[in-house]
Amino acid sequence: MGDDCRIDSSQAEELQSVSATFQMFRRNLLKLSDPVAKEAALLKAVKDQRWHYRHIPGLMQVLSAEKEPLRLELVRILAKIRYPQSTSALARIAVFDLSADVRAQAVDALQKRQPEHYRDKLLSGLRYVWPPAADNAARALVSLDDRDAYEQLVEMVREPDPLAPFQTADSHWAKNELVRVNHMQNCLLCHAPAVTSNARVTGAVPSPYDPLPRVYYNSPGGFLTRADVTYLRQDFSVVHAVEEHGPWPEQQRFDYFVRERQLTEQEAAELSQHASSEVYPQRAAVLFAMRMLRTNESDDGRPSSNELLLLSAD
Amino acid sequence: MLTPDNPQLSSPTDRSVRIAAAVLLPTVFGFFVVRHIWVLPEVNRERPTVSVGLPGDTNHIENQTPVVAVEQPTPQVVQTIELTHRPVFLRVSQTTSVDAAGATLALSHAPLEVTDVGRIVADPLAFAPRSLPEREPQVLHKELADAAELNLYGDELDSKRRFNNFKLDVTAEHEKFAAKQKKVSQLATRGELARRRARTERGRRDIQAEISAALYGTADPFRASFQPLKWWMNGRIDLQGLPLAMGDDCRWQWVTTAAGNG
Repeated sequence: MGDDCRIDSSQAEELQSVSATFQMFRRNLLKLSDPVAKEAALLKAVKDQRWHYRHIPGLMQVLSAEKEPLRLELVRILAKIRYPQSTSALARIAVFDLSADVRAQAVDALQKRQPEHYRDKLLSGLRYVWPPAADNAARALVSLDDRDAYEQLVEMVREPDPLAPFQTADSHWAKNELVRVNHMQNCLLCHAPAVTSNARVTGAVPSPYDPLPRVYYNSPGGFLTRADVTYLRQDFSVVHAVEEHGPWPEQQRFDYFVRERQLTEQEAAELSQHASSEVYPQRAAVLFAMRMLRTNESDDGRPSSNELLLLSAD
Repeated sequence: MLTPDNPQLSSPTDRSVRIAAAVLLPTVFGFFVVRHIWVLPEVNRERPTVSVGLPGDTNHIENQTPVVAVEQPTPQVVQTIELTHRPVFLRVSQTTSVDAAGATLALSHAPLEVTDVGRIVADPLAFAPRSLPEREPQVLHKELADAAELNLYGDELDSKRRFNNFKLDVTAEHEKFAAKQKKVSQLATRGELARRRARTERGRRDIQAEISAALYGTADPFRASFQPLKWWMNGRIDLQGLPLAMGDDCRWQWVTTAAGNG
């Protein structure tokens, strides 16, 4: 398999260490029955632990779908780790977290970071198919007063609606869509199965007919997946209530991705009858960022000739 | 001899007049020739092809660039204007009504309204939002819960490559494929007892492990890994156009399809 989907041995060890740490935390919480006390104890355990930059992928994976206090703690941890990876992780939180407080903390932490380490994340957030992410990215760029992003924003105004159908190389019509995947039901969607006994970080594939295992990573027996091999990485994760949850908890984690769906012939035919709109939320977000960044720069609000050249250039 | 009375002789003033006339007349003539034959047509070519004139006062417009308002500024509008005015400055305003003295410009992408006479100032951001909607977390939550849910075992997930961030070095995978095919074949021979072994859970797991191990780094391990029982029952693995089937002799075989794959 290619290197793109695999982390190296030292990263795998760190991932294992994060997973082992959280297993220890959760084992210690088993004796607590009150969910609030459990959450507080977990928060304290996370606070008391010493983390460094190699723990970032594991922390993001484990904590980004937790409740708000733990997500705020994640931001604090990342703010303390001054490293490009933590900057990138903070930008991801600033774009995707559902809580305005968490996003604001992440943006605050980004104020002290190099724009080169977060700009691309924020700019790509402006093109995300879920409009609130684009709005968050625009607000973050404005709060960070990242005027060097302006020229890229001018280019982005010209981009089509990210939700608009498009023709693929093989002339089929397709569309990008936000989709969600139940985290615990679809292990093998994102990870390779562990077929050898020396796989570093493994996780059991839980059965929907049995309660979830108390220990997930490095659990023995059953079908195992390799956490060090990841074909798909979610853009963000959210916990939702599941109606028919069976023996699993009602609150389950869902991972969000953007997938390209080939349209049916009927859908494609219907599309050809509708002109695409030039007004869409992602463009509004880009224009908002441009306006605010420019307002910060000049009082007369007039564009420079360079802007015009960029706007009119093919 | 030259005397002041001799009419053939010119005074210094007369000479100056003649010299000036000799120089100036062709210059003036040349100026008009150049202006009308060369400069003006060029100038006219650079003027807007759209009519932006105030009623009865086109000269006024020619001399001063009009200010126009864009109701819905888009890059296309700016581009269209840019093609007709050089340089172009468009100032857009919130005014949607046509000024009393104005005229409506219908360009290809958006209506433009002339509201004043002056410079054209291009500002596509004048209608950019001053704020963005701030949604409550529960609203976002609900919105996300409405997103299509995909399931590993559903028909929706026929290829992970359709996801925006799928990570697999596909080229390298296919390059390794030929080398690994031999190994799969050897495994297939060992798999003669596979059908018997598959009667037990342990046996099925072993088969899955063998096949997955053989296929690692050869092709998309996705289907081969997550649906061992399903493909066992179907007797076939579809690996990106590289179908693998269990033959009647209990051997894993690469199947040649009508399209010539395999």
